[in-house]
Amino acid sequence: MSGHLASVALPAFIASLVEFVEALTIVLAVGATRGWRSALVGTAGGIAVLVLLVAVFGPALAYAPLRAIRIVLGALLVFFGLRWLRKASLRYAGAIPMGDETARFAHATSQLGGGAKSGSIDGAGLLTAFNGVVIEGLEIVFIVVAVGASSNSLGLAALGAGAAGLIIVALALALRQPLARVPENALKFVVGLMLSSLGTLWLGEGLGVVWPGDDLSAIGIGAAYLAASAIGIGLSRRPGNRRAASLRA
Amino acid sequence: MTWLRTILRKIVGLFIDDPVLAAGVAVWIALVALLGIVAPEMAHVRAFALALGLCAILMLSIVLGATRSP
Repeated sequence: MSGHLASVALPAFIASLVEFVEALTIVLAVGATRGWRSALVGTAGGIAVLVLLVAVFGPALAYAPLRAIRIVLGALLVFFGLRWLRKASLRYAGAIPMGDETARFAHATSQLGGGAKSGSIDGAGLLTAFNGVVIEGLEIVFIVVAVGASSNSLGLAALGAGAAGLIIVALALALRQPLARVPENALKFVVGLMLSSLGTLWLGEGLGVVWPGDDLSAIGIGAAYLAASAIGIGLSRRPGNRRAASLRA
Repeated sequence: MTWLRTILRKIVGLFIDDPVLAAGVAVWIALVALLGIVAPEMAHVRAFALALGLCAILMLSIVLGATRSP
């Protein structure tokens, strides 16, 4: 059970934290400029679509052979995890700028226009909130379905994502501003490591390789990815890169 | 329709950010799978080949990505 918590609920929880923070920035921008009713209705609609996707795809995968699930979802997890790992590494190397929720919030509010409207529902605001929640939430859906189906623990993965959602909503209600202090890049790096490791482990099992130490190999694979990222960051980190990134930010 | 297109683009973007990384990973997975057909008795070797090959591809992609960044 504790192994499943670490390998299923934790990646879903951390990844969902990152994505919920990004969705929250959009919802807050809609609320501040177009009215809270539009923001909340759009958010509720988006969450309903995401829950529906998990409810449809999650159980449907239970009917597929485990080996096929592990090959397909394991490979997709590798693609997904390495993408996050690469991006976070490039940010650490100073090659691309760090994510900035305050700047994202300012950009979104300027796009939506000023003048908060209260009472009636604003179509543009509702659609923006809905799109933001669905688009950012797709990554959560994929992680919940992929990690849950590959380990036969969909409920645990959904629980991890749900807990992250509750925490972010509670923080948003308390602070009423973008969560700029969340260490987004560090979280993305950790989740990228976890998902790449689990994806490699499950993909390998699907392809019939024999991992020394069975499931414990995920730790060794994670250490290897960590070393590869560290070397990549070390080779890429140049004063010029840092300066360019800070100028762009 | 615009939001549907955005969502489709986002779905592809979930897995492919850098085409070089995606292509490298796909080719390496295919090679390890092929090795399983040609030499199924080398299950342990394939495990190391899969993990270490993907690590090398990641490292290269980071270095290339940093080189290409303006």
